[in-house]
Amino acid sequence: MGGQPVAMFGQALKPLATNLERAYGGLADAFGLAPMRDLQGAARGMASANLAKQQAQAEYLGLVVAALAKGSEGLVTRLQEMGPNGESVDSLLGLVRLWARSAEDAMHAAMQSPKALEASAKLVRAGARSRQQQHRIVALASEALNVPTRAEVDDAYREIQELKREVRRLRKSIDQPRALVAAAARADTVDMAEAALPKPKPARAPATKRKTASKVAAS
Amino acid sequence: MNQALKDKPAAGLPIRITPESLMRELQQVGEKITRGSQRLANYTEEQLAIATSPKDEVWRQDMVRLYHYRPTVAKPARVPVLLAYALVGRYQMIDLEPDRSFVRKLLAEGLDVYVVDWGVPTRAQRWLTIDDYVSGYLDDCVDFIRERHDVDSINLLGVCQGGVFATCYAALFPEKLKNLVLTVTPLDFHGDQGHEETGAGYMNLWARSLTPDDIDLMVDTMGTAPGALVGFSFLMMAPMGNLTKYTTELVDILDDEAKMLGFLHMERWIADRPGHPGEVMRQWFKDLYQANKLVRSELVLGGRKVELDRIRMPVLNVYATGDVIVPTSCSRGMEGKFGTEDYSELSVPGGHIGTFVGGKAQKILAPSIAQWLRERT
Repeated sequence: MGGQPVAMFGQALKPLATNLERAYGGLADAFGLAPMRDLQGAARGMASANLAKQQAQAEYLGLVVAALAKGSEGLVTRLQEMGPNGESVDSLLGLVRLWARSAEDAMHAAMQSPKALEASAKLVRAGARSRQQQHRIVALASEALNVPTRAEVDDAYREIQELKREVRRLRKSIDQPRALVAAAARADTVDMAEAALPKPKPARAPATKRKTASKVAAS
Repeated sequence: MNQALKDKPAAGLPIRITPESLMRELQQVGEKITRGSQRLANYTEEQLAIATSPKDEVWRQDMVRLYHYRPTVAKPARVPVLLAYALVGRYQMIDLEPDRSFVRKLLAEGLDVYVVDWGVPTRAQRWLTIDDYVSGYLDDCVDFIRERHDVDSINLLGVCQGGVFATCYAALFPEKLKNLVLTVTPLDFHGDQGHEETGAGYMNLWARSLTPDDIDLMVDTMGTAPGALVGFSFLMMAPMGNLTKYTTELVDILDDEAKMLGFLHMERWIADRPGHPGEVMRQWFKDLYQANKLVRSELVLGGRKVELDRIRMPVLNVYATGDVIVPTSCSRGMEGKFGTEDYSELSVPGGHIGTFVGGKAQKILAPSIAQWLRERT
C-alpha cells in the first residue's frame, strides 16, 4: 500500500496540474521538456492505476477472508455433528484437513457468487490498466533511447503472422491438386484425375516442396 | 496430566489433541520431513523424467512438433490416430509415467499413435488464432500423416481444448478424418447454466462475468498470456485443495516412494505451463465461453463457418464424471448436434486430468477407445 499516499496526493493536485499544463505546456515543449513531461504524466497515471488496483485487491481479499471465516464456522458445525456420532479428531493434521475441507466449500460458494465474480472482474480490469501504465512508461523510455517499443515489435510480429498465413494459403492452393492426384492414384483413376486438373504454372511448380515445414525422417 | 481431563474434548468439541499427542505428532512429522528431504535430494534427473515413451520427431513448423510413437505391436492398426492436446498444458500429460501413460496404453492396444506438441508460444506468437492452429498446424500434421501412411483419412483424438480444435477441424476438413474422438472437451460452453454446482465450472462463470471489453483489455495488455498466469488461474479453482496438496497431503506421502515420484512427475508437468497466444484467448473467451458459438455452429474460423452438421464421421465423446474444469453438462449430450448418425458417449470415473492418469479411468479409457476405433476402421 506504499503508493497510496503518493497517488492520493497526485489526485488532489490534478486540477492544478491540468491548468499549469494549459498555461505553460506549449512553452515547456518549445524548450525541449516534452519527453520529461510525458514521463511525469505516465508516472502519475501509473500511481493512479496502482491505487485502483490496490483497492480492487483489498476488496477481493476481503471476500477471501470472509469465506475463510465462514469455513471456520463450518468446521465448528462439522465438529458439533461429529461429537454425537462418536467421531473425534485425534491429530493436528486431521484437524487441518477437516478445516481445509470446510474452508474449500465456503471458498467455492463465495467465489462463485455474483459479488465475488464482480470483484474478480474489477481486479482484472485494474490489473490490466496498471500494466498498461507500466508499458506506457517503458515505451516512453524506449523511444527516448531509440529502442523499438513493445507496440512496434508487436506490429512487426503481426505483419509476419499475416505473411505466414498468406504463404500457407498459397502453399495449400498449390498442394491441393497434388493431393487430388495422389487420391486418384489410390483409387486407380490417375489418368482421369490428371486430365481433369489444370496445368500448374511454371513459376509455382518448385513450391510443391513445402518450404515452411521441415520433415524429419523417422529413425 | 489428569486422565479424565486428557480425554475431555476441547470446549465441548470432539478434539482429542493433548499437548503430549501434539508433541508426538510434531516429532513424527519432523522425522518424516527429514526423511523426505533426503529422498528429494537423491532423486536423479532420470527418475524425474516424464513423457519417456520412445518416439521420433517426424515434422516441425515454428514451435510445433509432430511425434510418432514407436509401435509396441508387430502390426499396428492401418489407420493411424493423431492426438491433439490443449494449449493450456504440455502434451506430456498423456505420457506422464510408464505405468500412467495414455499413449502407452493406446500403443499396447495396437494403435499407431502420433501426437502434436504445440510447443511453447512466445510473444512472437501472440497473433496466432484458433484458425492458425486448426487450418494451419493441425491440417499440416494430418496431411503429413495421410501422405506418410498413404491413406485418405486418419483418426483424430482431441483432449479438452485440443478437442475443440479437433471438432473445428472435423467440421472444416471432414474428408480427411475417418473417426473423431473427443475427450473431456467443452462443446456447449453454456451447458452448465441451470446445472450450477459448487466447486465446478468456475472458469465458465468467471469468463461470463467479464465483459467483451474486459477480454480485449486483458489480451491487448498481455499479448501472450504468461504460463504462470494460466497456471495460477487453475490453482484458484481449488485454492484450499491446492494449499493442502503442498502441505498436509505432501507430508502424508513423503515416505511412499511411488506416490512421491508420482507427485513430482505431476508437478513437473504442472510447472511446465506454456504461455497462451492472446488472439486464441480472445476467441476462446469471447466466441466460446461468452457467445457459445461452437455448439450453435456460429463460430467462424478463417472466414469459414464451423458447421457441426458437416461432421459425418463416427464420433466418440468421452467425459469424466468428476470433471470440475469442464463440467459434464458442457461436454455430454451432444447427440444430434453433429451430422453423424454414429455418435457414442463414454463416461470415465475421475476428474479432468484423472481421466488420463487415474487408476480406474486408465483401465477403461484406452481399451474402450481402441475397441471403438477397431469396430470402425
